[in-house]
Amino acid sequence: MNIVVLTKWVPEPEGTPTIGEDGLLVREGADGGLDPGDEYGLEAALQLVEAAGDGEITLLTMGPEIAQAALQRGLAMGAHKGVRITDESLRGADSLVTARVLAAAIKRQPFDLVIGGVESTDGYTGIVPAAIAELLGLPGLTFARELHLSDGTLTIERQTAAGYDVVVAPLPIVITVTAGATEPRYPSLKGVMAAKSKPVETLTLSDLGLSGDDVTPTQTVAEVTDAPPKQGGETVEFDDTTAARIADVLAEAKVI
Amino acid sequence: MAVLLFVRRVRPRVALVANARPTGRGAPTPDRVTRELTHVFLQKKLLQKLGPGLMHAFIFWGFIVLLPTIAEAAVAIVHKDSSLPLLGAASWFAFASDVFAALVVVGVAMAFFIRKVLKPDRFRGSHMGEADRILLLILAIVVTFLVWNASRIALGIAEVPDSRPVANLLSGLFGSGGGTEAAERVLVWAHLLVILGFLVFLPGSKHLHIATAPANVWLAKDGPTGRLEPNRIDLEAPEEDIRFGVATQKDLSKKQMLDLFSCTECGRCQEACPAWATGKPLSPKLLIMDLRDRVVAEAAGEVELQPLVPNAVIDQVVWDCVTCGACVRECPVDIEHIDTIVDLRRNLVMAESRFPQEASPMLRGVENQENPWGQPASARLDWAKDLEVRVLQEGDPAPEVLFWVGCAGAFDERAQKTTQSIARLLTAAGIDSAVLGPREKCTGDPARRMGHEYLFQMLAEQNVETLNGAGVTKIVASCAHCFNTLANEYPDYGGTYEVVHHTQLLSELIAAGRLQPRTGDGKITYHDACYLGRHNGEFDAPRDVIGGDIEEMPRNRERSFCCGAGGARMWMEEESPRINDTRFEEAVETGAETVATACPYCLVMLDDAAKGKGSDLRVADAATLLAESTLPS
Ligand code: SF4
Ligand code: SF4
Repeated sequence: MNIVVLTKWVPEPEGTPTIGEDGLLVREGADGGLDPGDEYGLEAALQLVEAAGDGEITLLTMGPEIAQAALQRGLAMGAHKGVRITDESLRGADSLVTARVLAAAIKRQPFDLVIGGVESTDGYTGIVPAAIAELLGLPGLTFARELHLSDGTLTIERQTAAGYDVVVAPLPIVITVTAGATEPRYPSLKGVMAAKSKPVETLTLSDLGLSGDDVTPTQTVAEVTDAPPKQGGETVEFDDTTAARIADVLAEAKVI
Repeated sequence: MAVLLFVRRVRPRVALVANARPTGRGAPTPDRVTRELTHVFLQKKLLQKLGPGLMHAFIFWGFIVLLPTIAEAAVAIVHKDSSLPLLGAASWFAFASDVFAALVVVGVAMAFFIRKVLKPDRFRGSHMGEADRILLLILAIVVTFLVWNASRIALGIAEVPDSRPVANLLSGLFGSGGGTEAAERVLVWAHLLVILGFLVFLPGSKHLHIATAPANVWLAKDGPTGRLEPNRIDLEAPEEDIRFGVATQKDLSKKQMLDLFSCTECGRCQEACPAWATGKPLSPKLLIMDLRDRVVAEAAGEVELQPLVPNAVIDQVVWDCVTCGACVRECPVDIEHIDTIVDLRRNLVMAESRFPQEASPMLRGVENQENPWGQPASARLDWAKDLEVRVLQEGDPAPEVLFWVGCAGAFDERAQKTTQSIARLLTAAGIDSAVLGPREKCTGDPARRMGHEYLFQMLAEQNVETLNGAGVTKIVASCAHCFNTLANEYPDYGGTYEVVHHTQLLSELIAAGRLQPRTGDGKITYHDACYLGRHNGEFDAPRDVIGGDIEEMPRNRERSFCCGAGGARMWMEEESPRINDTRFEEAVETGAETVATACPYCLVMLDDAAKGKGSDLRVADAATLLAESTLPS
């Protein structure tokens, strides 16, 4: 059972990120670490490997030196090795470029399963895992809130707006795991220490056989502005019409 | 023969203690000498319960006085008419041993009365049969002693018969014929044989405490009980050199090991324990007994060497503890339950990552955002929005007093009120104070009490660096846990400051006339915080700040009952009946309108209980009450 878990270094979710003049996030010297959204998938991977009794979990990330911290955290939780792709030309990479690079790295070794989070806690595009599935020519099962493996077939409960669908696919596949699907373990200090001696490979684009053309973003950031301040909400006084009003609000928001 | 048996049976226990991890304690200090005098010779902690205390004191003092009589009897066995030089002829000694032997009889009778008639619940789980056998042996020792002396008086061989009122009385039992001579021989032999039997019985029993307790009291912690012994972790060191708390008995310190062999199974700790009182599996007494039984069985090769959790005690026992210190305070032989519990936690957290999962957000928060609430550092000053508060920037001159707000005081809405009250009172009194704002980090207390010593160590080092860098000399802390950590634990990490609790500073300001409270109305009760009161001995300052007559709860001051939040229990779920609800009920029963607190954890826990019950008993910090009666609102 070999699993690749997609991981990302993100700036401290509780902090205020700094945006550089080029409209890109300033990562150097920023507080941050492993995307909390990635931990659910990693935990799922750990549980699958533990249940299978053997197998290897590879953490895969793309990013500068600082992204090493995200890998260390995942290794401390119990992943077996890490791969980090770094290249000057990847600065400002968009989702498609990221997916291409990660897919190229995944292909380098045999694998049964690729697990990602639903979306990153900084970019929130939520399309990289699906794009990877496409590039690898594999089924992409998204929003797994529960997963169950038997005889080389993975069954997931796919979270939907209305409830969940049961989706079944034979391995190898790419899946995304929702936040809350698992309870990520808190790494022990022994795990943190052991992580230091686990192998981490650092690759460049040429190691992956990719060239500059493959990684030219199709999107660029034109401008970054502050989010508009929140509008004051509506206060509904409690009387006979309250229930109807709430129902209207929910209907307007297309929740019901 | 008996002596050999004694040695054979006691040796494995001595070896266990001798081979245990060194404690670094032992050198004579004034505290040690005082403790030995008060706790051992004057039986101070035993006498906290007057009846059982006197019972024990009679037996203990009796045996101290009677020790030389063993030699007396031994001499008499060899030669009937001889006695000890000096003491043997001293009438005062004859008198003392006679009276004290009688007192031992009284003590034993009291003990049986307590055990058989009163049957306090604290004995639940103790070895009752063993205790009975010990008491009977003690009784046999003194009865044979008294009757033997009576026979000697009857025979006219006693040197100072008039000094032995009790034996004299009993001498009427004997004639002066040959029968008495034989009886005298039989009695002296019986007396010595019972003593030897006692000796053989001793090592395997709880009565071993007569040998271990004085040493255990000597090795107890000096200074406030709130301080935990550091477990330094250097991540650069080879892993086998790093100790992650206590996994197996091999990791126990000498004191921790000696604790196990000192327990008398008296159950005073169990009776005071809030976890036990609310039906949890943790009893500090059973914890010590279970660890002891496992350690002994492993050492004897009866069972394999295994981690103590869950093989000696189950996980939940280790997590139930609120580190309130009630057990340590009650224990007559100065057993330090908390240190062992935290050491067991250290292993579970740092080596095994095995702990109640609901506490994991707290650890993550402390690790990533440097506070258990997981809030950004920038939010640390939210409470100060409408106040003028000096925020100490890097390079600023140090204030006279640094106000250590604490994470609860910064992030919890209810505790923020306390923080605001303190800030306003300090301004009103004209105190030159400042806060660190975003540069303040969690003291590490919750992580430490949870068992994450490394996380604590990092935070302690960082905070000490900030405080030392800012030239801080005096700190006022509003959280009892911060107060304890800063005052008692940071010196181990290079941070030595004059640390006061806000109620201490405020009570001084009142005394100096710099704050003038109006006498309030309404009945108030006060809940002592464990880490201010029992662990640090401050009971009066908060009461002075509250002022007026306080409707005390039955359990108050040193014997206060925890709110349920200490020992990182604040971040763990608790089954009903809960400790905070239990304590809150006690407050309600005083008929007070307000229950005052002096620690944000207590405030939150009791307020949660109030909300849960829909009670209108108000929960407020002493500082908030003072602000209301001092400042214009
Ligand atoms: S510290 Fe308090 S909760 Fe913990 S064992 Fe002792 S009495 Fe019980
Ligand atoms: S630990 Fe101390 S208080 Fe508790 S039963 Fe043993 S001797 Fe008594």
